[in-house]
Amino acid sequence: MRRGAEPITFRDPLPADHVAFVNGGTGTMWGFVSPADDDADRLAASAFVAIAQASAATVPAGTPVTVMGDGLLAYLLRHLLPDALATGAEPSVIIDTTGSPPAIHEAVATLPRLGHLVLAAPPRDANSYLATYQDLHVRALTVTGPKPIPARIGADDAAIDEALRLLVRVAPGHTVPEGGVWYAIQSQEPA
Amino acid sequence: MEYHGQQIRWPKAGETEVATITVQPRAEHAIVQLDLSVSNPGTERARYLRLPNASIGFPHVPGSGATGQVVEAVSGFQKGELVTVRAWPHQSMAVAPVERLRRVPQAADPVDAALWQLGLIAMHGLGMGGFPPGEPLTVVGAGLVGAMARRVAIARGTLECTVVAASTAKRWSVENEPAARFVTTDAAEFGQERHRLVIDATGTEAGLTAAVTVAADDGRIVLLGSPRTPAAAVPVREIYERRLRLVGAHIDTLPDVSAASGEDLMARYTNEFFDLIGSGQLTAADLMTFYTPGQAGVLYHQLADDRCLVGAGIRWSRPTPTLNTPCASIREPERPLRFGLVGCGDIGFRNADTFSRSSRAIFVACYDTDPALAAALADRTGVRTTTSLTELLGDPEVEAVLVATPHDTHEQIALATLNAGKHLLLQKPLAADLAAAQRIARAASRASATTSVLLPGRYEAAYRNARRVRDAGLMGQPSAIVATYLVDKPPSYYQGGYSMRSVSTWRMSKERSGGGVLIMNLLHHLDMAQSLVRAGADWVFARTATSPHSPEIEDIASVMVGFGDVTATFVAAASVPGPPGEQFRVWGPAGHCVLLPDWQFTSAEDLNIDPRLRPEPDDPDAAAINGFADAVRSGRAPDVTADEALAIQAIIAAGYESARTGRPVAPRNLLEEEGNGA
Repeated sequence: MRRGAEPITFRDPLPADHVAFVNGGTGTMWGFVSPADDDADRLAASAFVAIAQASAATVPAGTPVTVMGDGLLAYLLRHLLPDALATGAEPSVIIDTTGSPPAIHEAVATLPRLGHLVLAAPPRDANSYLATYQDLHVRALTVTGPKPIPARIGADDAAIDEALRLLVRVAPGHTVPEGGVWYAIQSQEPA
Repeated sequence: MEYHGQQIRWPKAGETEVATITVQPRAEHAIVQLDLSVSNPGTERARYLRLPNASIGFPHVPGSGATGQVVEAVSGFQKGELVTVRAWPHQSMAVAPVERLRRVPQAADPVDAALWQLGLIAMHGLGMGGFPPGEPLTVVGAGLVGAMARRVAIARGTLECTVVAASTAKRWSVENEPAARFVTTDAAEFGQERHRLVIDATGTEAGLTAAVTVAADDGRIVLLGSPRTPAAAVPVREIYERRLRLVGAHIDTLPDVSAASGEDLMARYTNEFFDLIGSGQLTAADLMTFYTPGQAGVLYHQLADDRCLVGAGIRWSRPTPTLNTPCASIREPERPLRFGLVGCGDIGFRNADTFSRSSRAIFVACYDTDPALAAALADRTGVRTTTSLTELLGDPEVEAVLVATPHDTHEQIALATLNAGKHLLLQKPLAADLAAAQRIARAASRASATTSVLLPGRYEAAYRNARRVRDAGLMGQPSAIVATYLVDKPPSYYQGGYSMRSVSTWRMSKERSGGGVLIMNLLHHLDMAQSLVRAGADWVFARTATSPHSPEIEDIASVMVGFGDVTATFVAAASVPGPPGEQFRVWGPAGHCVLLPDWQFTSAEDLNIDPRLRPEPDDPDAAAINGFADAVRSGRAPDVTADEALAIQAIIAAGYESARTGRPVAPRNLLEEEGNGA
């Protein structure tokens, strides 16, 4: 996906009567597509909340955490893990919400021994070239994908409402404005 | 007081030397005279080859543990006690801090005790993977660390363990593990079975890729082998999508994990390791190849190049079985001999099956002038094919060559094999004619490699029993032998052997095969007779009858041979319907052995000795291969020497000559004639 002056593009054409929900912020954009029905926004928000909850669940109590990214998922995680983020100690868990290769590299290079990288966002590249000896092996790092928690409307209404408040809707053919934490991009009207 | 010893040292990269050392007692240190020391193969190989992430300074003293006897009593250890020293270099004498020492359990193999550090590495890997006792798992990599990991898991109750490797080179190492299943990454079944715990003990990018492939969704993958590249592709998207957990497990992080968990895992794993080796539930001694200190250079060359090698160590002293307790076994198994096969037709196909049953040999490559035959055999066995004999002989992984081709081709292949420095095992006979056989025997006598002829009759239980009877004097000096070799070969045999895999008329050609039933079949009985009486043939008298299938070869051979004072009478025929087939008996003044069809011994005196069958190999073909491999590895003469095979060839030549002239013929004279003519 791209943003800025040019219209956002998708790897595959967005089907008619569908909407793409995109995690925003300054990192790589990623998201998912769903039918543009009445519950679509709320269901998408609940999905992001579920991912955030699953990622937060990987953090043992009292463990200092860093959340990478500034899109909706990062926003939700920061609300879910205020204590872990506020310790000021060296983080032993890093949750990446961007999926960007530099972020993954940075996380692996930063973590201390026995540190844990949670891939909360789908990595942009299939592979990351990592220092498997110096970083993963010698420091006994862990890299995981979060265990899924089913998205349910009503699971955390406050968080879902907050997410919906932040949603930036982008009309068909328009560019994505800077600064949004997440976007709903409507497909083009059928010709 | 000071002690002198030796150590293995690398003065610089790629060089190995044995250096003299002097050690002095220190407080809270034990002086240990070491009997053996072991390597951590992956780490030492990487350091020896100066691979990435394995930088060291020189001189360097490699090694990963050792076992020996306490020289002077020190706190907690008595003089003479057998102890192991964890993570200790290859030295014959150690001054080791007592916290690095552990008493070797009564029933444990000292070799296993020396693998303490490797055991900790394996246990730490399993711990990092969250292994609960009994969980099925896959181990990628069949090296020593991988082997320890799977064997610890099996000792903890795992009943199902898949071993994934890039090649079959180390397949031999899992053959004694019923719970383990060996799969290569290019096999059709690779990836079909997925486990939730995968240990990657390879340290390679390909190993990590394989580990991800065989991991079940939600599975855990442990990076146990030290990666030897600066960076490697980590499949992060697959980790995300399949919710995998990838965790590193360097042994240096064991204290960190202990601190995090609040439990002394070093102590826990150590106690468990010694419990397991002491109770016989865990061993890796069978995977170790030991070298003398003077062979240390060979050890590291082997570590660098030999994909079959699993574990290696140095024996500072010869094994003394009474060192620990009567039940402590100090085993020194050898690595399997890696065979290339030349000739993939009728008998070659059977030989390939034999390799799969052999505990001492591995079939790695094959060649046939007919590529389709080689390809079919490769498909069946998973070995690689070569496009030429030269390519096969140039393959560094091929140590020995089994020749299973028409008899007239033996000489050329045998000489090329010996010239290439490979060990040579020929299907019988040595050659199609005596002159070629002599040239092969001469080349064998000059070669540093081992030459033998495959004669599985020497490994039949009845034959070995007869030798025991003879050696024990229960038969007296053999007086006579009577044997019949009666078979019923179908007409198709002469055009394609018993399998018809390769259609050829070479069996019908005297020039190509050397003859009919005499050289094809009776040869086995002639060899048994010669080796039982332990005397050369003085004369041979024979009559033959022509085969209905070819005028060039005989269908019937009646042969009398004088082995010193022993007269042996043989009748062989290839068109005799029905049983009994083979009969063979030998007797002397004190007793009578029937070897075939069923073992029987009759003593002239009522000696209260029961020489019935003892436990013996029930697979003479595999035992013959094993015997050859043992001869190669140990440096002893093979059970069937080239000279013995030449003597049998001379008896056969004399038989044909006698049948032609109607007069007795002395094999010795034929050998002299051939020798003079050479």
